[in-house]
Amino acid sequence: MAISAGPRQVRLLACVAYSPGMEQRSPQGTVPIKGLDISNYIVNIDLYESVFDDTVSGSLTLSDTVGLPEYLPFVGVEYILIAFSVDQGDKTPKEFRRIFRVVGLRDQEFTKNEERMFTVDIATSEFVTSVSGRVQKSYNGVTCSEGIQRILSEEMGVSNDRMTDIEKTTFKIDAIIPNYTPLSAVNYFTLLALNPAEDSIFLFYETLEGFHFNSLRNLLSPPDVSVLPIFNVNEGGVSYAKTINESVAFNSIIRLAQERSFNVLEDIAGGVLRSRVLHLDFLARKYAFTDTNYTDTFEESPHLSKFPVYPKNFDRVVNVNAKLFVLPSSDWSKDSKYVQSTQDRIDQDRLYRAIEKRNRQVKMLRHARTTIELPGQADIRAGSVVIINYPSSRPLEDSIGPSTSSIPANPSRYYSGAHLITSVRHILTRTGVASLSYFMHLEACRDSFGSPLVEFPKGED
Amino acid sequence: MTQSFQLGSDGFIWFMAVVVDRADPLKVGRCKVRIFGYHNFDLKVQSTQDLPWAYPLNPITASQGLADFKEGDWVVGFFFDGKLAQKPIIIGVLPAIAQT
Repeated sequence: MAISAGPRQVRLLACVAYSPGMEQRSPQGTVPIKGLDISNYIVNIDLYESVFDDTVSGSLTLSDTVGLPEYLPFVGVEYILIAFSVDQGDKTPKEFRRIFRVVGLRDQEFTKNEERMFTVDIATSEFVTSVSGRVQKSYNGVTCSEGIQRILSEEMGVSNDRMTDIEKTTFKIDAIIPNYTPLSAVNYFTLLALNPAEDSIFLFYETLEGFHFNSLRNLLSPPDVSVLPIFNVNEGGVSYAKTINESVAFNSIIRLAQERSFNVLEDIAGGVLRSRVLHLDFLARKYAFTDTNYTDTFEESPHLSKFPVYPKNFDRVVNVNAKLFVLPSSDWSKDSKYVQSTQDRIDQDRLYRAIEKRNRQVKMLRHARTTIELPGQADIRAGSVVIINYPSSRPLEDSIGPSTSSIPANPSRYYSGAHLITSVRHILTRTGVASLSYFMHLEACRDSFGSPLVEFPKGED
Repeated sequence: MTQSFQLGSDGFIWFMAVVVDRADPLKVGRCKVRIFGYHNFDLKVQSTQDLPWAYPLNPITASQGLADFKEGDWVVGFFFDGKLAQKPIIIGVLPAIAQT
Protein backbone atom coordinates (compact mmCIF):
# COMPACT_ATOMS: atom_id res chain seq x y z
CA MET A 1 0.00 0.00 0.00
CA ALA A 2 2.75 2.44 0.82
CA ILE A 3 5.59 3.82 -1.25
CA SER A 4 8.75 4.83 0.54
CA ALA A 5 8.83 8.59 0.75
CA GLY A 6 10.55 11.10 2.95
CA PRO A 7 8.43 13.54 4.87
CA ARG A 8 8.10 17.10 3.58
CA GLN A 9 10.75 19.34 5.17
CA VAL A 10 9.47 22.23 7.17
CA ARG A 11 11.49 25.12 8.57
CA LEU A 12 10.37 26.49 11.90
CA LEU A 13 10.55 30.26 11.49
CA ALA A 14 9.37 31.20 14.94
CA CYS A 15 7.69 29.84 18.00
CA VAL A 16 7.40 32.62 20.51
CA ALA A 17 5.38 32.57 23.71
CA TYR A 18 4.48 35.71 25.53
CA SER A 19 2.10 36.78 28.22
CA PRO A 20 0.36 40.14 28.33
CA GLY A 21 2.81 41.41 30.97
CA MET A 22 5.81 40.86 28.71
CA GLU A 23 5.08 43.77 26.39
CA GLN A 24 2.57 46.48 25.79
CA ARG A 25 1.58 45.74 22.26
CA SER A 26 -1.80 44.19 21.51
CA PRO A 27 -1.63 40.46 20.80
CA GLN A 28 -3.85 41.05 17.76
CA GLY A 29 -0.77 42.33 15.90
CA THR A 30 0.93 40.02 13.46
CA VAL A 31 4.20 39.57 15.36
CA PRO A 32 4.76 40.28 19.02
CA ILE A 33 7.67 42.62 19.70
CA LYS A 34 8.96 40.72 22.67
CA GLY A 35 8.42 37.30 24.07
CA LEU A 36 10.25 34.13 24.87
CA ASP A 37 11.53 32.09 21.96
CA ILE A 38 10.49 28.54 22.76
CA SER A 39 11.32 27.04 19.36
CA ASN A 40 14.31 25.15 20.82
CA TYR A 41 11.99 23.29 23.18
CA ILE A 42 9.48 22.18 20.55
CA VAL A 43 9.23 18.42 20.10
CA ASN A 44 5.99 18.28 18.18
CA ILE A 45 3.36 20.64 16.76
CA ASP A 46 -0.08 19.20 16.11
CA LEU A 47 -2.73 21.36 14.39
CA TYR A 48 -6.25 20.21 13.56
CA GLU A 49 -8.83 21.62 11.15
CA SER A 50 -12.19 20.18 10.11
CA VAL A 51 -15.14 21.27 7.98
CA PHE A 52 -17.33 20.36 10.97
CA ASP A 53 -15.39 22.55 13.44
CA ASP A 54 -15.60 26.32 13.68
CA THR A 55 -11.92 26.95 14.38
CA VAL A 56 -8.48 25.39 14.17
CA SER A 57 -7.14 23.82 17.37
CA GLY A 58 -3.95 22.05 18.31
CA SER A 59 -1.25 21.21 20.79
CA LEU A 60 2.49 21.65 21.24
CA THR A 61 4.69 19.10 22.92
CA LEU A 62 7.71 20.69 24.54
CA SER A 63 10.76 19.36 26.33
CA ASP A 64 12.84 21.74 28.45
CA THR A 65 15.25 21.99 31.33
CA VAL A 66 14.44 25.57 32.29
CA GLY A 67 11.01 24.90 33.77
CA LEU A 68 8.91 26.86 31.28
CA PRO A 69 5.58 26.00 32.94
CA GLU A 70 6.78 27.86 36.04
CA TYR A 71 9.21 30.31 34.47
CA LEU A 72 7.01 31.81 31.79
CA PRO A 73 4.66 30.72 33.47
CA PHE A 74 1.97 28.93 31.52
CA VAL A 75 -1.27 29.86 33.25
CA GLY A 76 -3.70 30.31 30.35
CA VAL A 77 -3.18 33.97 29.44
CA GLU A 78 -0.31 33.38 27.01
CA TYR A 79 -0.17 33.75 23.28
CA ILE A 80 2.05 31.63 21.08
CA LEU A 81 3.15 32.73 17.65
CA ILE A 82 3.87 29.79 15.37
CA ALA A 83 5.47 30.43 12.00
CA PHE A 84 6.83 27.83 9.63
CA SER A 85 7.52 27.44 5.93
CA VAL A 86 6.78 24.29 3.96
CA ASP A 87 9.11 23.20 1.18
CA GLN A 88 7.15 22.61 -2.03
CA GLY A 89 9.83 21.14 -4.28
CA ASP A 90 10.13 23.36 -7.35
CA LYS A 91 7.65 25.93 -6.09
CA THR A 92 8.25 28.74 -3.60
CA PRO A 93 8.02 27.50 -0.01
CA LYS A 94 4.64 28.20 1.52
CA GLU A 95 4.69 30.16 4.74
CA PHE A 96 2.23 29.83 7.59
CA ARG A 97 2.09 32.27 10.49
CA ARG A 98 -0.52 32.38 13.21
CA ILE A 99 -1.01 33.45 16.82
CA PHE A 100 -2.74 30.99 19.15
CA ARG A 101 -3.94 31.22 22.73
CA VAL A 102 -2.70 28.79 25.36
CA VAL A 103 -5.77 27.07 26.81
CA GLY A 104 -4.30 24.21 28.82
CA LEU A 105 -1.19 22.43 30.05
CA ARG A 106 -1.25 18.66 30.44
CA ASP A 107 0.75 15.43 30.51
CA GLN A 108 3.69 16.95 32.37
CA GLU A 109 6.38 14.31 32.84
CA PHE A 110 9.67 14.76 34.70
CA THR A 111 11.79 12.51 32.56
CA LYS A 112 15.40 12.89 33.80
CA ASN A 113 17.44 15.37 35.85
CA GLU A 114 15.82 18.75 35.30
CA GLU A 115 14.22 17.82 32.01
CA ARG A 116 10.49 17.80 31.72
CA MET A 117 8.15 17.11 28.85
CA PHE A 118 4.65 18.51 28.63
CA THR A 119 1.88 19.35 26.21
CA VAL A 120 0.38 22.79 25.76
CA ASP A 121 -3.12 22.90 24.27
CA ILE A 122 -3.70 25.83 21.97
CA ALA A 123 -6.79 27.36 20.38
CA THR A 124 -7.25 30.30 18.10
CA SER A 125 -7.76 33.60 19.88
CA GLU A 126 -11.07 33.90 17.96
CA PHE A 127 -12.29 30.75 19.67
CA VAL A 128 -11.35 32.07 23.12
CA THR A 129 -12.95 35.42 22.25
CA SER A 130 -16.10 33.58 21.23
CA VAL A 131 -16.26 31.50 24.40
CA SER A 132 -15.74 34.68 26.44
CA GLY A 133 -18.35 36.74 24.59
CA ARG A 134 -22.09 36.78 24.04
CA VAL A 135 -24.21 38.33 21.31
CA GLN A 136 -27.56 39.92 22.14
CA LYS A 137 -28.35 41.69 18.92
CA SER A 138 -30.92 41.85 16.17
CA TYR A 139 -29.90 41.44 12.57
CA ASN A 140 -32.69 42.72 10.34
CA GLY A 141 -32.84 42.19 6.61
CA VAL A 142 -29.44 40.55 6.31
CA THR A 143 -28.36 37.59 4.25
CA CYS A 144 -26.74 34.72 6.12
CA SER A 145 -23.33 35.56 4.65
CA GLU A 146 -23.69 39.22 5.70
CA GLY A 147 -24.74 38.14 9.19
CA ILE A 148 -21.69 35.89 9.50
CA GLN A 149 -19.32 38.57 8.23
CA ARG A 150 -20.74 41.10 10.69
CA ILE A 151 -20.40 38.73 13.64
CA LEU A 152 -16.85 37.79 12.68
CA SER A 153 -15.73 41.39 12.33
CA GLU A 154 -17.84 43.15 14.99
CA GLU A 155 -17.94 40.51 17.73
CA MET A 156 -14.74 38.56 17.18
CA GLY A 157 -12.41 41.14 15.66
CA VAL A 158 -11.58 38.97 12.64
CA SER A 159 -9.89 41.00 9.92
CA ASN A 160 -11.08 40.81 6.31
CA ASP A 161 -7.97 38.97 5.18
CA ARG A 162 -8.83 36.11 7.57
CA MET A 163 -12.30 35.73 6.00
CA THR A 164 -10.74 33.77 3.19
CA ASP A 165 -13.77 32.40 1.47
CA ILE A 166 -17.24 33.66 2.41
CA GLU A 167 -19.72 32.58 -0.24
CA LYS A 168 -22.59 34.98 -0.82
CA THR A 169 -26.13 33.96 0.03
CA THR A 170 -29.13 35.84 -1.33
CA PHE A 171 -32.16 35.34 0.91
CA LYS A 172 -32.62 38.02 3.58
CA ILE A 173 -33.72 37.14 7.08
CA ASP A 174 -34.43 38.85 10.39
CA ALA A 175 -32.67 37.16 13.29
CA ILE A 176 -32.61 38.01 16.96
CA ILE A 177 -29.49 36.48 18.44
CA PRO A 178 -30.45 35.53 22.00
CA ASN A 179 -27.30 35.56 24.11
CA TYR A 180 -25.37 33.11 21.95
CA THR A 181 -21.59 32.99 21.80
CA PRO A 182 -20.42 34.66 18.56
CA LEU A 183 -19.58 31.29 17.01
CA SER A 184 -23.00 29.89 18.01
CA ALA A 185 -24.53 32.92 16.30
CA VAL A 186 -22.48 32.14 13.21
CA ASN A 187 -23.72 28.55 13.40
CA TYR A 188 -27.32 29.80 13.61
CA PHE A 189 -26.89 31.68 10.32
CA THR A 190 -25.13 28.64 8.84
CA LEU A 191 -28.07 26.44 9.91
CA LEU A 192 -30.49 28.60 7.90
CA ALA A 193 -28.28 29.14 4.86
CA LEU A 194 -29.18 27.57 1.54
CA ASN A 195 -27.85 28.33 -1.92
CA PRO A 196 -30.19 30.16 -4.37
CA ALA A 197 -31.41 26.85 -5.83
CA GLU A 198 -32.15 25.72 -2.24
CA ASP A 199 -30.56 22.34 -2.84
CA SER A 200 -27.34 22.76 -0.91
CA ILE A 201 -26.49 23.51 2.69
CA PHE A 202 -23.53 25.58 3.89
CA LEU A 203 -20.59 24.74 6.12
CA PHE A 204 -18.63 27.19 8.26
CA TYR A 205 -15.10 26.19 9.25
CA GLU A 206 -11.55 27.44 9.63
CA THR A 207 -8.37 26.21 7.99
CA LEU A 208 -4.80 27.40 8.51
CA GLU A 209 -5.50 30.10 5.89
CA GLY A 210 -8.66 31.53 7.44
CA PHE A 211 -12.43 31.23 7.77
CA HIS A 212 -14.62 29.61 5.12
CA PHE A 213 -18.37 29.74 4.59
CA ASN A 214 -19.16 27.58 1.61
CA SER A 215 -22.09 25.73 0.14
CA LEU A 216 -21.59 22.00 -0.15
CA ARG A 217 -22.31 22.29 -3.87
CA ASN A 218 -19.45 24.74 -4.23
CA LEU A 219 -17.07 22.57 -2.21
CA LEU A 220 -17.87 19.43 -4.18
CA SER A 221 -17.58 21.16 -7.55
CA PRO A 222 -13.96 22.29 -7.88
CA PRO A 223 -13.46 24.47 -10.97
CA ASP A 224 -10.77 22.29 -12.53
CA VAL A 225 -10.90 18.56 -11.87
CA SER A 226 -7.71 17.94 -13.84
CA VAL A 227 -5.52 19.63 -11.21
CA LEU A 228 -6.88 17.74 -8.20
CA PRO A 229 -4.26 15.84 -6.18
CA ILE A 230 -4.35 12.12 -6.92
CA PHE A 231 -3.54 9.45 -4.35
CA ASN A 232 -3.10 5.91 -5.56
CA VAL A 233 -3.55 3.10 -3.10
CA ASN A 234 -1.06 0.50 -4.30
CA GLU A 235 -1.50 -3.02 -3.19
CA GLY A 236 2.23 -3.76 -3.56
CA GLY A 237 3.07 -1.83 -0.44
CA VAL A 238 6.62 -0.65 -1.16
CA SER A 239 8.27 0.66 -4.30
CA TYR A 240 11.61 -1.04 -4.95
CA ALA A 241 12.74 1.64 -7.38
CA LYS A 242 15.94 3.42 -6.30
CA THR A 243 14.47 6.79 -7.12
CA ILE A 244 10.90 7.83 -7.60
CA ASN A 245 9.32 10.89 -9.08
CA GLU A 246 9.01 13.67 -6.51
CA SER A 247 5.29 14.21 -7.09
CA VAL A 248 4.75 10.46 -6.68
CA ALA A 249 6.74 10.54 -3.45
CA PHE A 250 4.81 13.44 -2.00
CA ASN A 251 1.48 12.01 -3.08
CA SER A 252 2.30 8.61 -1.69
CA ILE A 253 0.25 7.11 1.07
CA ILE A 254 1.97 5.93 4.24
CA ARG A 255 -1.10 4.34 5.79
CA LEU A 256 -4.69 4.16 4.69
CA ALA A 257 -7.79 2.63 6.22
CA GLN A 258 -11.33 2.90 5.07
CA GLU A 259 -13.22 3.30 8.33
CA ARG A 260 -16.59 2.52 6.82
CA SER A 261 -18.50 2.56 3.54
CA PHE A 262 -22.02 2.97 4.87
CA ASN A 263 -24.09 2.51 8.00
CA VAL A 264 -27.62 1.55 7.11
CA LEU A 265 -28.98 1.55 10.67
CA GLU A 266 -27.71 5.06 11.26
CA ASP A 267 -29.13 6.17 7.91
CA ILE A 268 -32.56 4.71 8.67
CA ALA A 269 -32.81 6.22 12.15
CA GLY A 270 -31.15 9.47 11.13
CA GLY A 271 -33.53 10.15 8.25
CA VAL A 272 -31.13 9.76 5.33
CA LEU A 273 -33.24 7.07 3.67
CA ARG A 274 -36.58 8.64 4.40
CA SER A 275 -37.85 11.57 6.39
CA ARG A 276 -40.89 13.76 6.80
CA VAL A 277 -41.12 17.42 7.68
CA LEU A 278 -44.35 18.54 9.28
CA HIS A 279 -44.51 22.31 9.31
CA LEU A 280 -47.14 24.14 11.27
CA ASP A 281 -48.46 27.65 10.76
CA PHE A 282 -50.67 28.21 13.81
CA LEU A 283 -51.67 31.74 12.75
CA ALA A 284 -53.12 30.39 9.52
CA ARG A 285 -54.34 27.18 11.17
CA LYS A 286 -52.62 25.22 8.43
CA TYR A 287 -49.98 22.54 8.23
CA ALA A 288 -48.28 20.52 5.52
CA PHE A 289 -46.12 17.45 5.15
CA THR A 290 -43.01 17.35 3.01
CA ASP A 291 -41.77 13.82 2.43
CA THR A 292 -38.32 13.14 1.04
CA ASN A 293 -36.40 10.00 0.26
CA TYR A 294 -32.86 9.08 -0.62
CA THR A 295 -33.49 8.03 -4.22
CA ASP A 296 -35.22 11.26 -5.27
CA THR A 297 -33.05 13.71 -3.38
CA PHE A 298 -29.84 12.09 -4.61
CA GLU A 299 -30.55 13.46 -8.08
CA GLU A 300 -30.84 17.09 -6.95
CA SER A 301 -28.10 17.24 -4.30
CA PRO A 302 -24.42 17.85 -4.98
CA HIS A 303 -22.33 14.68 -5.11
CA LEU A 304 -18.80 13.49 -5.64
CA SER A 305 -19.74 10.70 -8.01
CA LYS A 306 -22.69 9.69 -10.15
CA PHE A 307 -24.09 6.71 -8.33
CA PRO A 308 -25.82 6.47 -4.95
CA VAL A 309 -24.53 4.34 -2.08
CA TYR A 310 -27.91 2.57 -1.73
CA PRO A 311 -29.82 1.05 -4.67
CA LYS A 312 -32.81 2.83 -6.14
CA ASN A 313 -36.07 2.23 -4.20
CA PHE A 314 -34.23 0.75 -1.21
CA ASP A 315 -35.62 3.67 0.82
CA ARG A 316 -39.18 2.36 0.26
CA VAL A 317 -38.67 -0.29 2.93
CA VAL A 318 -38.40 2.46 5.54
CA ASN A 319 -41.50 4.01 7.07
CA VAL A 320 -41.90 7.66 6.17
CA ASN A 321 -42.12 8.62 9.84
CA ALA A 322 -38.78 6.96 10.71
CA LYS A 323 -37.39 10.46 11.08
CA LEU A 324 -39.92 13.19 11.67
CA PHE A 325 -39.16 16.89 11.91
CA VAL A 326 -41.90 19.10 13.34
CA LEU A 327 -41.16 22.76 12.82
CA PRO A 328 -42.85 26.15 12.86
CA SER A 329 -43.83 27.67 9.55
CA SER A 330 -45.18 30.93 8.18
CA ASP A 331 -45.86 29.77 4.66
CA TRP A 332 -49.53 30.73 4.64
CA SER A 333 -49.73 33.58 7.13
CA LYS A 334 -46.94 35.57 5.45
CA ASP A 335 -48.99 35.70 2.24
CA SER A 336 -52.40 36.22 3.85
CA LYS A 337 -54.45 39.15 2.57
CA TYR A 338 -55.18 40.15 6.15
CA VAL A 339 -51.46 40.47 6.97
CA GLN A 340 -50.92 42.52 3.82
CA SER A 341 -53.90 44.78 4.64
CA THR A 342 -52.43 45.59 8.07
CA GLN A 343 -49.17 46.89 6.59
CA ASP A 344 -47.39 44.29 8.69
CA ARG A 345 -44.88 41.77 7.54
CA ILE A 346 -44.38 38.19 8.65
CA ASP A 347 -41.01 36.78 7.67
CA GLN A 348 -40.72 33.57 5.80
CA ASP A 349 -39.61 30.88 8.18
CA ARG A 350 -36.39 29.42 6.81
CA LEU A 351 -35.95 26.75 9.44
CA TYR A 352 -38.12 24.00 8.00
CA ARG A 353 -36.68 24.56 4.54
CA ALA A 354 -33.12 24.01 5.73
CA ILE A 355 -33.23 21.43 8.52
CA GLU A 356 -34.11 18.33 6.55
CA LYS A 357 -31.57 19.10 3.82
CA ARG A 358 -28.89 19.83 6.37
CA ASN A 359 -29.54 16.62 8.26
CA ARG A 360 -29.48 14.54 5.09
CA GLN A 361 -26.51 16.16 3.36
CA VAL A 362 -24.20 16.21 6.40
CA LYS A 363 -24.93 12.53 7.09
CA MET A 364 -24.56 11.51 3.45
CA LEU A 365 -21.27 13.35 3.22
CA ARG A 366 -19.84 10.92 5.76
CA HIS A 367 -21.04 7.72 4.10
CA ALA A 368 -17.62 6.43 3.12
CA ARG A 369 -14.88 7.59 5.47
CA THR A 370 -11.21 6.95 4.87
CA THR A 371 -8.28 7.97 7.03
CA ILE A 372 -5.00 8.57 5.27
CA GLU A 373 -1.53 9.29 6.58
CA LEU A 374 0.80 10.94 4.10
CA PRO A 375 3.69 13.39 3.77
CA GLY A 376 2.54 16.95 4.48
CA GLN A 377 1.19 18.91 1.55
CA ALA A 378 1.02 22.67 1.73
CA ASP A 379 -2.10 22.92 -0.45
CA ILE A 380 -4.35 20.28 1.07
CA ARG A 381 -6.81 21.67 3.56
CA ALA A 382 -10.15 20.71 5.07
CA GLY A 383 -12.64 21.35 2.27
CA SER A 384 -10.24 20.30 -0.53
CA VAL A 385 -11.32 17.67 -3.04
CA VAL A 386 -8.80 14.93 -3.89
CA ILE A 387 -8.94 11.81 -6.03
CA ILE A 388 -8.18 8.48 -4.38
CA ASN A 389 -7.73 5.38 -6.50
CA TYR A 390 -8.26 2.10 -4.66
CA PRO A 391 -7.14 -1.26 -6.02
CA SER A 392 -9.71 -3.94 -6.70
CA SER A 393 -9.09 -7.52 -5.67
CA ARG A 394 -10.73 -8.93 -8.79
CA PRO A 395 -10.67 -7.81 -12.40
CA LEU A 396 -13.69 -5.85 -13.55
CA GLU A 397 -14.84 -5.62 -17.14
CA ASP A 398 -14.76 -1.85 -17.00
CA SER A 399 -11.47 -1.50 -15.11
CA ILE A 400 -9.24 1.31 -16.27
CA GLY A 401 -6.51 0.41 -18.78
CA PRO A 402 -3.18 -1.29 -18.19
CA SER A 403 -1.08 -1.04 -15.08
CA THR A 404 1.41 1.81 -14.69
CA SER A 405 3.90 2.52 -11.98
CA SER A 406 1.68 4.96 -10.13
CA ILE A 407 -1.87 3.83 -10.82
CA PRO A 408 -3.13 0.65 -9.15
CA ALA A 409 -3.12 -2.26 -11.58
CA ASN A 410 -6.81 -2.73 -11.25
CA PRO A 411 -8.45 0.34 -9.76
CA SER A 412 -11.80 -0.20 -8.16
CA ARG A 413 -14.45 1.84 -9.92
CA TYR A 414 -16.75 1.41 -6.96
CA TYR A 415 -14.60 3.13 -4.33
CA SER A 416 -12.15 5.14 -6.44
CA GLY A 417 -12.79 8.75 -7.34
CA ALA A 418 -13.25 12.18 -5.82
CA HIS A 419 -13.28 12.52 -2.04
CA LEU A 420 -13.84 15.57 0.14
CA ILE A 421 -11.20 16.16 2.80
CA THR A 422 -13.31 16.75 5.90
CA SER A 423 -10.48 17.05 8.42
CA VAL A 424 -6.73 17.46 8.45
CA ARG A 425 -4.30 16.91 11.29
CA HIS A 426 -0.96 18.61 10.57
CA ILE A 427 1.81 16.87 12.50
CA LEU A 428 5.17 18.60 12.61
CA THR A 429 7.94 16.80 14.47
CA ARG A 430 11.38 18.18 15.23
CA THR A 431 14.19 16.63 13.20
CA GLY A 432 16.94 19.26 13.53
CA VAL A 433 17.77 22.66 14.98
CA ALA A 434 15.18 24.55 12.95
CA SER A 435 13.75 21.80 10.80
CA LEU A 436 10.63 19.75 11.27
CA SER A 437 9.21 16.79 9.43
CA TYR A 438 5.68 17.32 8.20
CA PHE A 439 3.04 14.61 8.02
CA MET A 440 -0.71 14.81 7.57
CA HIS A 441 -3.56 12.67 8.79
CA LEU A 442 -6.54 13.23 6.53
CA GLU A 443 -10.14 12.16 6.79
CA ALA A 444 -11.47 11.80 3.24
CA CYS A 445 -15.20 11.31 2.77
CA ARG A 446 -17.44 10.28 -0.06
CA ASP A 447 -21.24 10.49 -0.38
CA SER A 448 -21.59 8.41 -3.54
CA PHE A 449 -19.79 5.71 -5.49
CA GLY A 450 -18.50 5.20 -8.99
CA SER A 451 -20.51 2.14 -10.04
CA PRO A 452 -24.25 1.67 -10.46
CA LEU A 453 -26.12 -0.81 -8.27
CA VAL A 454 -28.96 -3.09 -9.26
CA GLU A 455 -32.31 -1.45 -8.71
CA PHE A 456 -34.15 -2.59 -5.59
CA PRO A 457 -37.62 -4.03 -6.21
CA LYS A 458 -40.21 -1.36 -5.49
CA GLY A 459 -42.15 -2.61 -2.49
CA GLU A 460 -45.27 -1.30 -0.85
CA ASP A 461 -45.08 2.30 0.14
CA MET B 1 -27.19 23.06 17.90
CA THR B 2 -27.81 19.50 18.94
CA GLN B 3 -31.55 19.36 18.56
CA SER B 4 -33.99 16.86 17.13
CA PHE B 5 -36.02 19.70 15.58
CA GLN B 6 -39.26 18.05 16.57
CA LEU B 7 -41.41 20.63 18.37
CA GLY B 8 -41.79 19.67 22.02
CA SER B 9 -38.94 17.15 22.01
CA ASP B 10 -36.06 19.51 22.59
CA GLY B 11 -36.92 20.58 26.10
CA PHE B 12 -39.20 23.23 27.49
CA ILE B 13 -37.21 26.46 27.45
CA TRP B 14 -39.15 28.93 29.56
CA PHE B 15 -38.43 32.56 30.22
CA MET B 16 -39.44 35.65 32.14
CA ALA B 17 -39.82 38.91 30.22
CA VAL B 18 -41.08 42.47 30.32
CA VAL B 19 -43.84 43.59 27.97
CA VAL B 20 -42.55 46.65 26.12
CA ASP B 21 -45.01 47.23 23.28
CA ARG B 22 -48.61 46.15 22.68
CA ALA B 23 -49.28 47.96 19.40
CA ASP B 24 -49.77 44.82 17.37
CA PRO B 25 -50.47 45.63 13.73
CA LEU B 26 -52.07 42.22 13.30
CA LYS B 27 -54.38 42.82 16.27
CA VAL B 28 -54.11 39.26 17.52
CA GLY B 29 -52.82 40.26 20.94
CA ARG B 30 -49.11 40.02 20.23
CA CYS B 31 -46.68 42.11 22.21
CA LYS B 32 -42.99 42.85 22.03
CA VAL B 33 -41.12 41.38 24.97
CA ARG B 34 -37.65 41.96 26.31
CA ILE B 35 -36.65 38.60 27.70
CA PHE B 36 -34.32 38.40 30.69
CA GLY B 37 -31.09 36.66 29.82
CA TYR B 38 -31.82 36.61 26.11
CA HIS B 39 -32.23 40.23 25.02
CA ASN B 40 -30.08 43.24 25.75
CA PHE B 41 -31.61 45.76 28.12
CA ASP B 42 -29.53 48.57 26.62
CA LEU B 43 -31.93 50.18 24.13
CA LYS B 44 -29.02 51.50 22.10
CA VAL B 45 -27.87 47.94 21.49
CA GLN B 46 -31.29 46.36 21.00
CA SER B 47 -34.19 48.75 20.43
CA THR B 48 -37.83 47.84 21.09
CA GLN B 49 -38.35 47.62 17.35
CA ASP B 50 -35.70 44.88 17.17
CA LEU B 51 -37.45 42.64 19.68
CA PRO B 52 -39.60 39.66 18.70
CA TRP B 53 -43.39 39.60 18.73
CA ALA B 54 -44.57 37.19 21.41
CA TYR B 55 -47.86 35.37 20.99
CA PRO B 56 -50.16 35.10 24.02
CA LEU B 57 -51.80 31.77 24.88
CA ASN B 58 -55.49 32.39 25.47
CA PRO B 59 -57.27 30.39 28.21
CA ILE B 60 -59.61 27.66 27.04
CA THR B 61 -62.48 29.53 28.68
CA ALA B 62 -61.85 32.62 26.57
CA SER B 63 -60.17 31.34 23.46
CA GLN B 64 -61.05 34.32 21.28
CA GLY B 65 -60.35 36.96 23.91
CA LEU B 66 -57.53 39.43 23.61
CA ALA B 67 -54.77 39.57 26.14
CA ASP B 68 -55.16 42.04 28.98
CA PHE B 69 -51.57 42.74 29.91
CA LYS B 70 -49.92 46.14 29.52
CA GLU B 71 -46.47 47.61 29.04
CA GLY B 72 -44.31 46.99 32.09
CA ASP B 73 -46.01 43.73 33.01
CA TRP B 74 -43.75 40.81 33.72
CA VAL B 75 -44.76 37.69 31.89
CA VAL B 76 -43.72 34.05 31.80
CA GLY B 77 -43.57 32.08 28.60
CA PHE B 78 -41.67 29.54 26.53
CA PHE B 79 -39.99 29.35 23.17
CA PHE B 80 -42.03 27.57 20.51
CA ASP B 81 -38.80 26.74 18.68
CA GLY B 82 -36.79 25.62 21.74
CA LYS B 83 -33.16 26.66 21.98
CA LEU B 84 -33.32 28.73 18.81
CA ALA B 85 -35.37 31.20 20.87
CA GLN B 86 -36.91 33.12 17.99
CA LYS B 87 -40.63 32.50 18.65
CA PRO B 88 -41.74 33.36 22.18
CA ILE B 89 -45.17 32.36 23.47
CA ILE B 90 -46.60 34.01 26.61
CA ILE B 91 -48.35 31.78 29.13
CA GLY B 92 -49.32 34.31 31.77
CA VAL B 93 -48.70 37.51 33.65
CA LEU B 94 -46.94 37.57 37.02
CA PRO B 95 -48.60 39.48 39.86
CA ALA B 96 -47.08 42.68 41.17
CA ILE B 97 -47.43 44.87 44.29
CA ALA B 98 -47.39 48.63 44.48
CA GLN B 99 -43.99 50.12 45.35
CA THR B 100 -45.27 53.41 46.74
